[in-house]
Amino acid sequence: MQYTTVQMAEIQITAATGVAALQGIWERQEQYVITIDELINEPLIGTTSPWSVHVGTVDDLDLVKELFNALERSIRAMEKEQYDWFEFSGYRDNWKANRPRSSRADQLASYPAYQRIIGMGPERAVYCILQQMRDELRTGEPDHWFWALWALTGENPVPEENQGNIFRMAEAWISWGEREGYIDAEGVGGTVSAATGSIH
Amino acid sequence: MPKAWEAQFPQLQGRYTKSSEVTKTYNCAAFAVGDDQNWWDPLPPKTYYWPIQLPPNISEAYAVASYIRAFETRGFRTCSDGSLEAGFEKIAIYGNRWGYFEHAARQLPDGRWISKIAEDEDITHDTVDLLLGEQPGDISYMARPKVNDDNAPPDDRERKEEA
Repeated sequence: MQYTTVQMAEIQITAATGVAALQGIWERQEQYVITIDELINEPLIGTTSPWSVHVGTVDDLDLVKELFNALERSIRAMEKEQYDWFEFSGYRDNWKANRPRSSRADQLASYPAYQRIIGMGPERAVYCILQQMRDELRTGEPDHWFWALWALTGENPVPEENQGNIFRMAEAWISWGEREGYIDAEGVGGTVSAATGSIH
Repeated sequence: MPKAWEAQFPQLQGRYTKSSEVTKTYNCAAFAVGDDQNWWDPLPPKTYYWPIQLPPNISEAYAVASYIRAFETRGFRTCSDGSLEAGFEKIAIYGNRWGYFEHAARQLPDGRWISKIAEDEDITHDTVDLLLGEQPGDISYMARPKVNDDNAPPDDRERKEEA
């Protein structure tokens, strides 16, 4: 099996693909090792092979072009929800890893990757955020998604007595999302696992 | 190894003691006035806990003056300095060079200070100025008479019981 390692920063992906979702990959600022056979012969997302992170470069430009052409085809083959989640998760990872620490919601929300999530628009971003928030609530503390939800929806479903309690705020938003049809009670919502790419 | 947030406080240089685990549950503004259950923030409107009306000019929501009014709802009044004063607990409010809120710390009974660092842990530090940021402005001080129950005023206790 042929493997190659691609350093994303060395690739001019915008002109080569014109696919907005690639910005999600770009935002991760990571490097991936992917089998060429995997990319060419089957969609990248939806396979059971998780992406591995490695450091390295590729000298063979034709191989790089082939890789990204295959990647573009893979992205085009995604379902809408996979595509949205793919883009969202790139911005999410960037925001979580790189944002300056702050006690102010406006400063947390002003980080570029967070603004890009808001820029995805309500139809694409809200269910991704709510799914993410639900996962965080299950495993620990919800993150500060409230500014984005407010900006995207104009809604404020948190009762006054729960304002400030991030757990109850998250619960209120998840309940709102279920009522409004953004996510269902089982957490389907059309999102995908970041680890495996499989649809929940 | 220095933590990522330490770079935002050039004078700290590791001179602190960690006092809690990392949490996003509350922020420094809440912690300064004895609330470890809520995140205090004026914006977005009516989202986080904020005990006062927003100013007509929304851009002033994060002004130090806005935080002073918020802390007044917990019995604090402005005072001249952060010296240890029997019978009073004090807080320090850090503004940046533009007069907007950056941080708040609470004085301990021994005269040291304790702070919640953003979304991270609580730390104990000897002096207020160790937490001056990269664009420091004025530090304002407030004081209130000490109460016996964990330094928490009645309104804070009620909120905790509800939770």
